[in-house]
Amino acid sequence: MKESADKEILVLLKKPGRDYEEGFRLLLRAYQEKLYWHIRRMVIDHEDANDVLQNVFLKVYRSIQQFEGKSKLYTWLYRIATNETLTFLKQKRKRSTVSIGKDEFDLVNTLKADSFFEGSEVMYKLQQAILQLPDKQRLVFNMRYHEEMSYREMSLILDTSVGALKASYHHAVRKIEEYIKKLV
Amino acid sequence: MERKTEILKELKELSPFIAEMKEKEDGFKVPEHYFDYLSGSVLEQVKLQRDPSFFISREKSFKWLDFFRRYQVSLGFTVVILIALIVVPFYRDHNEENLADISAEDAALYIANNLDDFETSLFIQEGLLEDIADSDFSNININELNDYLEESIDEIDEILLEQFL
Repeated sequence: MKESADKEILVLLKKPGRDYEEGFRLLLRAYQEKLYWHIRRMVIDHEDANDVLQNVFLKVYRSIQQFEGKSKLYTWLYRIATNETLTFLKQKRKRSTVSIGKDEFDLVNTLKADSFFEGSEVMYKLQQAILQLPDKQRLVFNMRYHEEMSYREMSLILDTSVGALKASYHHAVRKIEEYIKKLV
Repeated sequence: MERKTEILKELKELSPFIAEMKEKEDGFKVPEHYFDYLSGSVLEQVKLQRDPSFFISREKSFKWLDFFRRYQVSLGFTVVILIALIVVPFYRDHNEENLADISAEDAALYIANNLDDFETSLFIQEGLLEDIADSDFSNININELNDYLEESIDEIDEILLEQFL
C-alpha cells in the first residue's frame, strides 16, 4: 500500500462525519484482502476468517482516532489482525478442551472439512505440514512465504528481532520439508 | 519484484523442494463476490454497535450482564456476607447435622464461589438488587459498555453473544 494513499486515509479519519466514513471505507477497500488472507491462512476456515476480520475492522474503527502515526498504518493494522488471530486460536483451543475434555481442536480436520479449500494433493500435504508448526512460527512462515514480507516489516509487526525471525523461518522450512517427505 | 526474487532465492537455498511449490496455487478459495460485499457488512456492524438501543433488551437473559456491570467486586463481599446470613439459617433448618459447624466466613466463601447457583430473585427479594424492569438505561455509556464486553468476552455465554450479534 503506497504511503500517499495511507496519508490520504489518515487525513480523512481525523475529520468528523462523512469524511471519517469515507476514510474508513477507503481503509477497508485498501486492506480487506491482505488482512483476510493473513488471517485465513492461520485459522483455515473461511467463516472463522470472516469473523476475525470483522472483529479486526470493528476494533480499528473504534481505535483509529488513537492511532498516533508512530508506526505505519500498514504495520498497525497487521498487528491488530495478528493479535486477534492468535487470540481466536487460543480461545478456540480452550473451548474445545473444556467442552470435549481433550484437545480436539485440530486445524488439519478444519482444512479437510473446509469447502473453500480446493488444493491439489500436494498442496494439501504442504498445508498439513505447515499446520504442524506452533502458531507463532506458522505465522512467521506464512508472512514470509505467502505474503512475501521483508524481515524488517515482520519485525515491526511481531515485535521480534530480524535475527530471531530469520532463524524461525529457516527452521520452519526445514521442518515442513521433513514432514512432507515422511508423508510421500 | 526484487523482494520476490530475494525470497525465492532464500527458499531455494533452504529447500528447493518447497521453493518449487511456491509458484503453485495454494488451494484456498473465497465465496464469490465476498470482497465486494465485505465493506458493506463491516459498516453494518459498525452502525449496529453505534446504536445503544441495540444493547438494551428486556429479555431476562440480560439480567446477569447488568448484575455484574453494576455490582462488581467492591460491593460483592458485602452482598456475600448478607446472603450468608440468609442462607446459613436456611440450611441449618434443613440439615443441622452437616451445617452446625459452618462458620459465616465459610458460608460467605461458598456463596462467593457459587454465585451462579443463587437466583437473582433472592437478591431482589432481599433488596440487594433492583429489578431489571425498573432499571434506567438512559445513562449507559456505549464506550464503557464496549470496553466491558471486550474484557468480559471470555465469560459471556456463546449463545447469549450470538443474540447480540
